[in-house]
Amino acid sequence: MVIIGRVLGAHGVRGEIRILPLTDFPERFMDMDRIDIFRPAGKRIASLEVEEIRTHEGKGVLLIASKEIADRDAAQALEGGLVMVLQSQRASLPEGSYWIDDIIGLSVVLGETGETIGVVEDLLRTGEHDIYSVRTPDGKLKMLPAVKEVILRMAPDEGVIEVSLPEGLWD
Amino acid sequence: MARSTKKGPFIEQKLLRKVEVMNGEGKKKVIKTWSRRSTIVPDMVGHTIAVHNGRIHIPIYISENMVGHKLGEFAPTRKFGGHAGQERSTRVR
Repeated sequence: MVIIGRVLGAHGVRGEIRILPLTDFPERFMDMDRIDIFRPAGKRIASLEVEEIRTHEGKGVLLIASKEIADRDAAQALEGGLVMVLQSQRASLPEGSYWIDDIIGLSVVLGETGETIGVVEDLLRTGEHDIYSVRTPDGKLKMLPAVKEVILRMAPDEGVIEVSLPEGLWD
Repeated sequence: MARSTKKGPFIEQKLLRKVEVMNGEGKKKVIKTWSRRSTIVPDMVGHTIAVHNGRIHIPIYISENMVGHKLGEFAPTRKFGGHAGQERSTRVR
């Protein structure tokens, strides 16, 4: 399952719930007829038929009204729940983009020699470009900027990222 | 209050000198800096500058859109929980 949002709580007294989108494609909510809400441990706590979805201007959250929830107390009970979808229901990616879940765990190899220099452990978002944290075989954590000058080829299917390390990057 | 325009942008002189030397020689080498307060100037575009975040140096590739911002804006100092499990994507820019 993939997380696409988190329930922040209730909005108003008519059972609307506030959802913080945890997806790069928040517009996907507008096409959803039904949302499934799970506890972080994985247990499903609600499956709601969506009546109305609107954005809360300036807050970056969505307000969802459903048939099943009619009052504030029931909406408040869902606070902390996660909106999840199946992996197969993920939004379609634009050309050249990859899911972060698919990138974590890939081997990083040098483009010139094919030598494995580490494994992608995490990803930092800095605003302009992403940074991949790479755990080297000797246990050190090194950073790799996700720019064309450094990343030569991404091949999640083969489990590798080919890179070229500029002088001084990992000194 | 904003910085007086009379003074121009602040850049650590040691950092600027290193960038200018590399531009003169046509070389590209990652420069380590602790100067998060330095403004990004057009001379830096195309270079990779490793900016200290208090613990490690974060390598930042400087692009035109970053000119006028401070180096520290691109090297987060707080540990982030992570995007694992979420519908988040990445791309090589």
